[in-house]
This record gives sequence, C-alpha cells and structure tokens, in this order.
Amino acid sequence: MAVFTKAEAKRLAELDDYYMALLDALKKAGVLDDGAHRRYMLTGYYRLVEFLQGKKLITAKQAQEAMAGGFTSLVESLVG
Amino acid sequence: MNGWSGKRLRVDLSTGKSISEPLSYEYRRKWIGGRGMNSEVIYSEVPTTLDAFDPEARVCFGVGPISGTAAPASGRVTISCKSPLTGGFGDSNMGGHWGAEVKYAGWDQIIVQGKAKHPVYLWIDDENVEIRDARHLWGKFPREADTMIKQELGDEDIHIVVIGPAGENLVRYACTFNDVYRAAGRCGQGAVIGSKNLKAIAVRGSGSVGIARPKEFFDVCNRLRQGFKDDPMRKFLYEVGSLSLINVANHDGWLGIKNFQQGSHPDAHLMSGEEHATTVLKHREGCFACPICCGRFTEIKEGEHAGEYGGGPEYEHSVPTGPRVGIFEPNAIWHNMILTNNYGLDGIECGGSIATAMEWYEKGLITTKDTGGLELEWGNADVVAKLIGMIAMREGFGDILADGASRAAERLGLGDEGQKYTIATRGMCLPGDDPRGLGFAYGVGFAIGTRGGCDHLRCLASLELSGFMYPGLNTKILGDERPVKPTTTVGKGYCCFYEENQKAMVDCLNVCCFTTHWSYAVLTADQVEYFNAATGMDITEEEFMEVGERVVNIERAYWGRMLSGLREDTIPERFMKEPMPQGTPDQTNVGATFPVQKILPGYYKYRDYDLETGFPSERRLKMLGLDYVAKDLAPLRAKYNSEAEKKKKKYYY
Repeated sequence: MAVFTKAEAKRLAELDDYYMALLDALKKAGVLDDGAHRRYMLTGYYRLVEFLQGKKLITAKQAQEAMAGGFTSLVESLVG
Repeated sequence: MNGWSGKRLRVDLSTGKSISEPLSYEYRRKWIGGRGMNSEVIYSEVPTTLDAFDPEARVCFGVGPISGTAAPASGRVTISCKSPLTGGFGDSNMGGHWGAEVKYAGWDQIIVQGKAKHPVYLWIDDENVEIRDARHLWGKFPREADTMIKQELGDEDIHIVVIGPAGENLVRYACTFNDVYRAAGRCGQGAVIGSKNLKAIAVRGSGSVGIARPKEFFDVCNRLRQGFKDDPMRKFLYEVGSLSLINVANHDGWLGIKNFQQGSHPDAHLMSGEEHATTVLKHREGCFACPICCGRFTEIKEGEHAGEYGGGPEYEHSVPTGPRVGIFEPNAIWHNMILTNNYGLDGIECGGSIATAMEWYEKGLITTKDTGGLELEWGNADVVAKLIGMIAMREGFGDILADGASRAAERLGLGDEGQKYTIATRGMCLPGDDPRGLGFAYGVGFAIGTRGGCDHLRCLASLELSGFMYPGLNTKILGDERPVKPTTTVGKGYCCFYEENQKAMVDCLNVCCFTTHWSYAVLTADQVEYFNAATGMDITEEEFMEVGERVVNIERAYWGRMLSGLREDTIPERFMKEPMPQGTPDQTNVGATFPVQKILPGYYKYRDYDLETGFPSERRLKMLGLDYVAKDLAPLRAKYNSEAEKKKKKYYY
C-alpha cells in the first residue's frame, strides 16, 4: 500500500530518531490513530509490523523482510 | 489471593506500633509492586523538603507479585527512600532470598518510619512483628550480625536484611545487605535505615504464593528455564560472573580508569573474570530461583591479605575501588571489596569519592594538609584501604568523603573546579562505565536516571551492550540493527525510552534484570505471560509497559518538585569534551567523545517531557492517571525557569 513517497522514505532513513518519525508519518497517513501510535511506541517495532500485517497493509513476506531488514525495508514496502 | 499477598506492613519505630494495610486491586494494578509501589509511597509520603534522616522519612522494602515463585530469578527486593546522598529520589535493589521470604511471611511491602530510641532490629515471623533490642549488634559487620541474630532466634533459615557500621555512622552512601553478601548498593538507604536506629530486619515466612493458572504459569517458567540453557550471556555470567565485562571493557575502552581519564590499560586483564575464576574463586552462588548463578565467593590465597574471604566481586564494585583509583593488583582489589562489604559501603560511590579526591590531589586542588597527611597518589593501595575504613567510621579526611564526592567538594571549598572532577550527576558518582565506549544510550541513562547519575541496573540500555550477542534483537524492538553500535547516536533516544520503561517494570516484578536485559532470555511478552498466569489478570503488553512509564514519571516528578529538570540532565564535561586517549594498542574508541545533547531531544519526545523544563508534561501525566502529580508540578514549571533559579548550580539537593 502506498503510504510514503520516495522522498519521505529517504528522509526517514536519514534520521537518527527514525522511530518516532515513522510512527508520526503512519499517523499522518491515517494508518495509526492516537491509541495505536502510543501502543507501538510502548511495545516496539515488531508489534507495529504485526499490526501492519494484520491490517493487510503489508504481506507476510514483506513483514518477514521488515523484521530482517528493519524499518527501511518496512518503509520500502509502503512506498507508492 | 493470587500473586500478591494483598497487604503491606507499616512499622513506626517511634511509637513501636505496626499495622497491616490492605492493597486494593486498583492500586496493585496501577503500581504492581516493588519499585512501583515504593516510588508511589516516597512521592506521596516523603516531602521533598524533608531531610533524608528525619524520623518522618520512609524507607520502603518492596517485593512483586511473582516474588517467591518459580519465575526465573524472582527473588529480588527494592529498597526506596529519599536519598541522603543526592537529596532526591533514591532506590536500589538486591538479590538473595530475603524478598521471597517476605512474600512467604505474607507481605508485599514493608514501610519503616519513625526512629527507635536505641538500636533495634525487626523480627517478622509471618504476621507477628516484634521490635527487638539490637544494642549488642551495633557496630557489627553484616556477617557477624547475621550469625548473631540467627543464633538468637534459633533458626538458621531466617533471612535477614542488615546494615554495617557505615549505615550506623550515616555515611551517605551506606548500603544494605541480605544473606550477608547480596547488596542494594546505591543511594544510601543503609544510612536512612541507620538513622532510624534500625540494624536489621529478620524474616521468616511459612506461607506460599497463590498462582491463578498453575499449569500455564509453570509451562511458561519451564519454557523460559529451558531457554537459558543455550543463552550466550548466561554462560558468560555463570562462568566468570559480571567480571566477564573487564576484558570487553578494556578492549572497547570503557573501563573507568583513574577517574575516567583513561578507558583501557595493559594490566586490566589481571582482574578479569577469567583470571578470578582460576585464582581466587571459591564457589559460585545463585539467588532465589536463579537460572544464571552469577554470584561469586572469593578467598584470597596469597600475599598480605591471604585468608580473607567474602561474597563477590561484581564488575561495578571492583572497578571503582580498583582501576578507577589506579589499582590493578587483583588481591588489593578483592581486599577493598571485602572491606567495603564488611563496613556496608556502596563500592561505586566509595571508589568514586576516593578517585575524585585523587584527581583533586593530582591537580593540586587539595594537599596533604587537607587529607591529614594521606598521599592520594593513583594506585596507592594502602591509602585506599585505609580511607575505606576512615570513610565508614567517619574519621579524619574520611568524614569528608563519607558525604559523597559532590558534597565533599563543597565542604572543602573547591568550587566549580572541584565539582568538575566529581564525575557525578545529581550528586551521585557514576558507575565504572565510560559512555565514550560502553554506549551512548547507556550514557543518556546517566543524564536522566531517576535515582541520580546511575545507569547501573537502571535504564540499562543493554541492547547496545549485549545486543551483539542476540542478532536481530535491536531490529525486533527498535526497528534497526544500527543502534547496537555503542558510539552511534542512531536510535538511542528510543532505546532509552523503551529500556527505561521495561526496566522499571522488571523492578516492579522484582525479577533480576540479568534475565531480561543483559541476557534477553526473558522478553517483555514472556513477562506479561507469567504475570497474567500468576495473578489471573489479563493485562496487555501495552498496559504492562505503561506501568513502567508511570513509575519513571512519578520518580521524575519527584525531582521536578525539587526543581531539577532539563538543565540538570547532563553528564560530566569530561565525557563530552575530552577525546578518549589510547591506553592499549587494540582499543576501539580512541578519540571518542559523547554528544549527549544530540540524543536528549529525541528521548524527550518519547517521554513527552516539557521542553522548557524537562518535567513530565501535564498531558502525559494525566494519561498515566497521575493527575495529582500534574497538579503538584503546575506551579513549579514557571518557577524552574525563573532567572533566579536559572542561576543556581545544583550539584546535589
């Protein structure tokens, strides 16, 4: 699903503090509401990936890649 | 009731009365136990203006809902108070078996307040509480007092919390022991206990811990125990204890040598865990229900200290009274460890204070006129050993160092130049780890630690310390593998937020963080699983982590009430400005500095701290059910940023 532009993906990858930016961007795109934003801040990246897969925003294969390659792989899967 | 006992014991030593107080379902769910319940009591019952030694000050001993069960390493206990060292919030926790015994006696928490007219000890035999004369125990080392109390009560299986002479003499960093050698070292609770004329708390319990869903609970515990068999960190900790870090620290340049003027030294290997295991290790020891058994017992076999013995060493105990004061001769270090244990001193603050004095001496800020003739040369083992005793007994120059490095600088009139070498934050000396090598997240913990400048077993950003042993773990939790590199700023703000919350929750459960942080054999999801199976609750992982966040926030708010916030979130200048020098040829961090201010803004975002003050925001406090805390802080936000307040230099409180 197209959530990010290539430029946004590039910007995220260059940030030191990428995780909050990732959560914020997903919220801005309407993927996460306030509660989900907070939930995945508290529980960590792998729970976010599970959520996105559960919502069918990424496939099982993409989820696997996101766990192996980290958030940059995840973001790539969400680039339109 | 399952998990909890559902009640706490409150003892007033002034009146000699003790009462049992029920702990409601809501209260237990909100604070869980251990550090959580203790922190709530300190926040609510100990005014920030109260002197730590005032009889009305509280000292709390908290255990958790799974303490005393088969959950791995579930025998720890947290001791909390207003710290006489920093003047702010303080706590420390320890292993051993006392925590489990408290549970079997039917208590989730013990609060001691008031002051006895003469030295006493508490004897808790299930529901029966007796205050007994301890005048004959005053002045005794923990080992002697433990033996005498057991003989007096006629039961070898009693477990005892006890302080040493340092606590009796109100040394501001006196620690507390149980089972003789398991210490809650930091923040000076031993002195608060001593100020109440309380020598010890002996406990015997005949009860048990209710488990809501036994099959589920034991299945989880068995699965986790199996996991430890192949755990790489468990193997290290069992074989060579926490001294397994010495060679690693020396290679990566984070051994705090000569008050952190160096990070690596050719002789450091002499005190490594590997050397210790083949020379003076008598046997290994484990705390309650521990699958790791990192505890050591040492007997010195050669030299002037031959025949001395005792529990330990630990990395954080040995480095400050060893390399930090320039000593690398192992038997001298083990001797110092035995001395600090006997007197009941926090080895970190003790070594840190002596190292600071040595640097003052080196820089010419003090002379033998100040020290009473002691020549504070680096590596002078005789002087260090002598000073340990003088500190504990508050004799001569030792009396000045007994107040901790920051207060000692003030007593000696050394001004800002003296404070520069204290290597402390919020009045507490940092442990023996240099963030220029150990890691930037760990170093952020020194700046924001809610018990002062101590990340030792606190925020414990171990994803960068032992993460390399668990490939993929940083990615799993933080979304990236790059934060495993110690000296990168990438991902460190979130690493601190996550691990600080997680560690707070581990301290509420009172399980050992060597099973959950150093080793990652027990992850958050596992903890939620055994917590729910034991208590019968249905808490989610989010709620679980939120408890940790709540605990961090109420502790942070205590500091806020003392007008300590953003400006005080810093680390000693040395780490930020002095490039790490080369000590050994293969040292990996030569030239490194630590840009803490680059990471803190990111960390604050996760915390939702007010960027003007560094106080927890009203919004986040209300989200955490801490409306009363938000109300307390409201008038202080503007005050913190008043011109008068900005001018104040706060080295301690």
